Amino acid sequence: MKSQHDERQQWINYRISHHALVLLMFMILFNSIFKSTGAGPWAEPMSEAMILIGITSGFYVTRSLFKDAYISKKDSFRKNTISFGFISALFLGVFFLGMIEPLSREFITDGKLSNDLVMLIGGVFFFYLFLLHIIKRLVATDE
Amino acid sequence: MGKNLRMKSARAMKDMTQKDLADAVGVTRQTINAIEKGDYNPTIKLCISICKTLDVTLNDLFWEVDNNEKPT
Repeated sequence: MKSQHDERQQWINYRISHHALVLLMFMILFNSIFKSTGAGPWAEPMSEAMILIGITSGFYVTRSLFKDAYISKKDSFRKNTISFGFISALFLGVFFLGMIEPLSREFITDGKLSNDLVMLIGGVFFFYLFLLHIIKRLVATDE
Repeated sequence: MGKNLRMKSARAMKDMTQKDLADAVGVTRQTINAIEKGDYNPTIKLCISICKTLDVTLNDLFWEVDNNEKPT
């Protein structure tokens, strides 16, 4: 599939994705070291994966967006912002609806973050992207 | 890499905005802005496309004249 990004954006995204990959590798490495030193797992697998992927993706989108390389010439800034806001509301809505269910939910079980937090983590991640787009729009200063 | 004022001036001569030029050559406005500010070094393909759109030569826009260089 042909990229919709222009040559400058492709070049910047290539460099940032390389940095994001290195960041992910280090996080997986330190996570493994942390777990193997006796501290044990700090989160259930799904929550752990969501957090590691969320941090890496957040790093990628933040850098790419502020270098004007995230939104391609075919994409709409407004559409992206609204989409992230909507997805964030969906995730957080499902999470908070889950909280009012009669079934008890535990967010920390045996000292680990539980899988019940997956929706909250997803919601926070997409809310971050939503806020990032708004901030980018506010600070856009180039001519 | 310094600012490309020659490109900015050639664009102004054609009465085009950065967005007009970007649309004409198929890149984002930010890329044109980055080239004019000297923050991005475009590929030869994009240089040619810009030159054709602005009706100028590659030398006019992108050849950096060295003070020690003798003209041929």
